[in-house]
Amino acid sequence: MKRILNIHVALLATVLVTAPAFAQSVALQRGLLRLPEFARVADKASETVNVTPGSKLLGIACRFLDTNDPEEADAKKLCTSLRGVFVRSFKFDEDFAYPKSDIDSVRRQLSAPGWSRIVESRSKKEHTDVDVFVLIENDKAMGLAIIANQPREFTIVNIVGAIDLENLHDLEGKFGVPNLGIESAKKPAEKK
Amino acid sequence: MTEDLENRMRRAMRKVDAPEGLADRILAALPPRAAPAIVTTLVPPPAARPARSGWRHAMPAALAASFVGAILLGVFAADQRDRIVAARDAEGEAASRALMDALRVTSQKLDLAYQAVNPPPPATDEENRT
Repeated sequence: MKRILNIHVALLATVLVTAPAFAQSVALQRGLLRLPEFARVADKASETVNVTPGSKLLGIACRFLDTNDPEEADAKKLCTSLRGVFVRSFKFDEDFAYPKSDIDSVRRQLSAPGWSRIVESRSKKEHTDVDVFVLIENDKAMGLAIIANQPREFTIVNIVGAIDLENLHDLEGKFGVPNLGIESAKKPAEKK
Repeated sequence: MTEDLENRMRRAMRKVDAPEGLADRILAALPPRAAPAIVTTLVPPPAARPARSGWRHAMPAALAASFVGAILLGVFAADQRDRIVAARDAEGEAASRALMDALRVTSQKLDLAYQAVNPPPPATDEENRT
């Protein structure tokens, strides 16, 4: 009986010790997509952008942004609440030189609960598909994903963390970010 | 007269035997014999002297060596710190450039989405004429 009690106490202690780390890991995983390596695609690509700053590197990157530069100042406001910005972008010299299956595997992950598609565009004429997804939790955007594929180019963007849509809005006209009609969840409450 | 004086002096200064046991009585009357004091010499033996003169030079040499060592250690530590700071700065600048690139790509694709959702209005006849 005493041995069983000891085992229970040990298990409880283990749970108490590992729970915060597990919760942090879950928080980090929320909104994070499993992006394929795209190693074969990168070999064929004429131009590649592969950005993978995790939370630690993102924090360093944010600190190094120059607040005197308006573009970087707005980026700094946006990135302080982010945990990761992941971009895979490839350009090719010929049409459809990339396998669509890799892109579809990412698109399938976005059918998980919480993700909402806010833009879906299919152009058969231009062979261009664009999807924009937002992960909403407690009326807050906790993740953003963009999948855009064109005949000679495809891009996957995954932004993880609390995205202040007001700040994203502030980037309009600076990075060429257009007004997508994304409204912050705060706005209706403020009107009351 | 002088002979008489001489005779009298001779008689007075004649050799007389000591009374019986005088020597023992004198020895018995003497105080007890004190133990001899032990004196240790502080002067090292002549053979040790050359070693002492070597030690005299070794101390300043050791001090000078530790001083030089401390300076070299300080220079090395400062160099290492500068390298770490430079590496961290380079990493931070590279990360910030990557972040700006990522945000630019994001904005380009959001722009593409915007154009797909809101295509530009068709040109009017008047615009076509101009």
